[in-house]
Amino acid sequence: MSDTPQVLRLPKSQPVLRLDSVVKRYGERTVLDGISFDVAEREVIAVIGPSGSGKSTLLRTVNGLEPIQGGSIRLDGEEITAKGTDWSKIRARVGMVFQSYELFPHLDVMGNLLLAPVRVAHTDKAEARERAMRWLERVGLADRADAYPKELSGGQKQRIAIVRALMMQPEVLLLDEITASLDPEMVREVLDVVLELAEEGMTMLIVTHEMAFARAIADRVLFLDGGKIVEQGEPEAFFTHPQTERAQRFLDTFSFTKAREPQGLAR
Amino acid sequence: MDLSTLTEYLPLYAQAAWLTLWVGVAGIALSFVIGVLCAAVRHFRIPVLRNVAGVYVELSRNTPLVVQLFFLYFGLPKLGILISSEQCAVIGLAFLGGSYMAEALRSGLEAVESIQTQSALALGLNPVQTLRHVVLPQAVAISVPALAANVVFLLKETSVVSIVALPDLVYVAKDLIGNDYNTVEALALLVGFYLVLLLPLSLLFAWLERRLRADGRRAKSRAPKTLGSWAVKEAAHA
Ligand SMILES: Nc1ncnc2c1ncn2[C@@H]1O[C@H](COP(=O)(O)OP(=O)(O)OP(=O)(O)O)[C@@H](O)[C@H]1O
Ligand SMILES: [Mg+2]
Repeated sequence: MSDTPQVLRLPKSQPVLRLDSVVKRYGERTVLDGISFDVAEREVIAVIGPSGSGKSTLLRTVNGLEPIQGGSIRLDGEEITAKGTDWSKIRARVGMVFQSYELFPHLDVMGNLLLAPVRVAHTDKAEARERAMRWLERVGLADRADAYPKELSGGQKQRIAIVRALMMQPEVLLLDEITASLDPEMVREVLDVVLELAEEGMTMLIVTHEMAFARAIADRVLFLDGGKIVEQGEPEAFFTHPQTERAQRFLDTFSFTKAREPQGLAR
Repeated sequence: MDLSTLTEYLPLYAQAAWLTLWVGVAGIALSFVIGVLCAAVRHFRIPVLRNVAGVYVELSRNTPLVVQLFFLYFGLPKLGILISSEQCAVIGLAFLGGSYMAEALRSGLEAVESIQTQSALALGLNPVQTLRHVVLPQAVAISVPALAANVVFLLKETSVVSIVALPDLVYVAKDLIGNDYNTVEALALLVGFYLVLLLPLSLLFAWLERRLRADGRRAKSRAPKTLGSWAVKEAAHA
């Protein structure tokens, strides 16, 4: 068939991810306060909410970058927050992309893409290289395989970071405000890649401040405030008729209404 | 200045320079090993050992090499431990240099942002792979200028080992001045030999540093925006 790489799809009856009453504390501060939700296979969930509401922390608990103090998280039915979890194995199945790209500056693009497949998944180097080239072609960066991160624009770096996560063929992809550091004209090229992934059935948990993007891509929106899911629902319903006053106020901060009378040279 | 005196002295100095060089190289190599160990136990906050390393670093950095050598040369025999002048010089140099190497490496390790580590872990690399393939290559590159400066510094510090009766360059010069009164020739050769040892090294390191800095400047344009807003958020909650 086509030789373009596709995201992995497996028939599944259970949710890919199940969070049950997840609690995360930093000392006295409770940052996640009983978070429960499921992520079905091929589902795209947008997580939105004010700064400090716990969105990043939520993503980071899913791949064990933050240990949790209560509740449980299951990946394909297997409890990954149980004692004795080999997090390296879990993380190889859960991709994550950060706001600040975090490409490895001492490696070129290909080096960045091959590190985990070769060292962690023990993929044959030639095979991994071929997969990398196909992904690079797909995101329009095939000619940059030998470039170092410092030679790339923000948008290019972020596309590479996404590809780097995809190289491990993850079952679910966690995206944490991946366009927040980008100049406006570069946001689109990155979001287009994510939209394509969604169309192909990649399961994703996306933290974003791009409301139009969330509305376009998500199957479900989770609105977080103070470490709780205050509201969730289908994007159309959530963005047009939020049920809670807190969500309404949050959405209002993104819209501008004209406060002044039109000025200018009246004729 | 008398040319025949110079040629007569030359073999003596060459021999002493050889001694200075190997004491320096051995001491510096050992201090690098000590430095790696200390930097590691402090960076990874290994209990007890990190405290030991901390005390050692302060002790080593805040006492002169001469005093450290006196302790080894006159102190250890009192405890029944006999060591040769050479051993004493190498150990003394390593004791001094270890802390400087440790601090240089530690600042390199700390300069690698923790989110780089997280990003490697998130890909499924285990902590050892993360250290080996992501953190260390960056940390060592950052440390190179400081490590290089330490090498030059330690080679110069070898000039005090004559106090433990080691016939190094300074010892030979002092001897010749005392015995023959050919002060000018003795001093000229002393300065000349140190320059021959150190100047190429300094130039090499300066060149290396310039190259690294040129690389680093371009690397710095990486926007650390997350960390910026992070710091602000943390401060607001403090
Ligand atoms: N390591 C930490 N130690 C202490 N508090 C922390 C730590 N990390 C996060 N927090 C706190 O947890 C809360 C949630 O942080 P988090 O980064 O998850 O918020 P966020 O919703 O992602 O915000 P933003 O939109 O600004 O990225 C914040 O109040 C933050 O100060
Ligand atoms: Mg965040």
